[in-house]
Amino acid sequence: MNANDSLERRITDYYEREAPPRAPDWVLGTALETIDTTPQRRVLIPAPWRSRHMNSFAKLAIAAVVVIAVGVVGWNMFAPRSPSGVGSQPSVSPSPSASPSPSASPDPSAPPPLSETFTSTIHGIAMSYPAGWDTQPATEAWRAGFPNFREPAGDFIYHPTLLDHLFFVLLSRPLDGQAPEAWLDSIRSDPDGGCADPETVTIGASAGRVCPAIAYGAAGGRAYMIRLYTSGDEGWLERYYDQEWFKTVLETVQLDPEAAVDTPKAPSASPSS
Amino acid sequence: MQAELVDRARRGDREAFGVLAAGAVDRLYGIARLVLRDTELAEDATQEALVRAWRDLPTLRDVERFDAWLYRLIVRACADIGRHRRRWRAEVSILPTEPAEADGVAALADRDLIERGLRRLTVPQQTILVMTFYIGLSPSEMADALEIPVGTAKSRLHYAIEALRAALAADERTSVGAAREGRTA
Repeated sequence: MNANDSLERRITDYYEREAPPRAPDWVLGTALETIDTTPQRRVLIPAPWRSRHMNSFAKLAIAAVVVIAVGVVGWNMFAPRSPSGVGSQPSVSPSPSASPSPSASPDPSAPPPLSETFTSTIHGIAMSYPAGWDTQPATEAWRAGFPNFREPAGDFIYHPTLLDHLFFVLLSRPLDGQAPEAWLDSIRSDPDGGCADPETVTIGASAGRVCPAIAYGAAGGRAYMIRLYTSGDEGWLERYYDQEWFKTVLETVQLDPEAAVDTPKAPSASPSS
Repeated sequence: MQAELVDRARRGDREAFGVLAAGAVDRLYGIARLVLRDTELAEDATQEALVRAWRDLPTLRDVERFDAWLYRLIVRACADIGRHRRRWRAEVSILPTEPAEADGVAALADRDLIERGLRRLTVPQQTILVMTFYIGLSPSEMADALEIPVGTAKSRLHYAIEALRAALAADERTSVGAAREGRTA
């Protein structure tokens, strides 16, 4: 038995001895009381990366709900109204073209100017973003896949009230030997927003690829990923925050791979082996 | 069984969540108390983790990863509470120790030594030790729970053990010094 084994055994013994066998009953009781009045976070239409396993029935059900909702909104807008109350006027030949934004969504306005700049402390990237939006810098390295909204691996830039319905996430990691072109082309098979025919663009003075709402870049041995997420709950968003706008934002991106911070490599002598 | 409960809870079933919470509360409290080394803070952290679990459960992608996700929540709750109150070093309360009938004096002294050494560690260092030696997570499980690379988990564990070893050595030097002073006085 070496010194490491001995110390590990002593720590284990200590924890076994000192760990409380039970939590006080009131801890659970109070938590459950709080939960009684705590709403769960809304994930009405999950992010695409959460819905890979959605079955056909669920898709059909959502489509039916959307059709019904559109019908109700359309009926309310275009159905002849009976005069009711002083000053009310029956609508005269309402035309869809006269109503540029037939939506019940909150304040469907154009995106604010890109007057703010975010500089990542982890991912080696800087980007302009809309005035008034909030940011949450990454605090942990990114490995793969998309983090959930405001999880620590991503830099999140998000609308102050729409929150996880409208946000950017910025990610980067070392290419680890992968050829930059291979990384860029892998956007085609990205299940979370990739597309068969990505457009070739320049991202931060380096080659990049962009699909409607996701972009891949590569610079200085790093793989970069930028995603604009617009929730399906807010259908009007895609009219304003579309690919053209996304590309406008991408034009402001600066990649600085040397400023990226990766987690330290594991020591050569593994303590657990 | 648990996956079904998680799925129900994820869809808003409070009763199902209550069953899950009852099954997890002692484990979470144990982690919080060993990490924070303070009874009151551990109670707060446990409640906070449970409320966050309920609130954020709809965002959990894979019901099979509920346990790992819960560990992540209690670790974050410990970190948040520790950061906000900054009490774990200044106002640590001594964990009650049961009478050591079956233990020898040496074992009791050793636990006391470990206790003092652990108090010198940071919360992240305590966390990694608790997850490894109390919960029994492997580096890959810990990486999954904390959403860090496996290499990072191994390295954090390595440095936490080294920090404890250094703390024990410092404690020993202090004790020897005090004993010498006692003899010369």
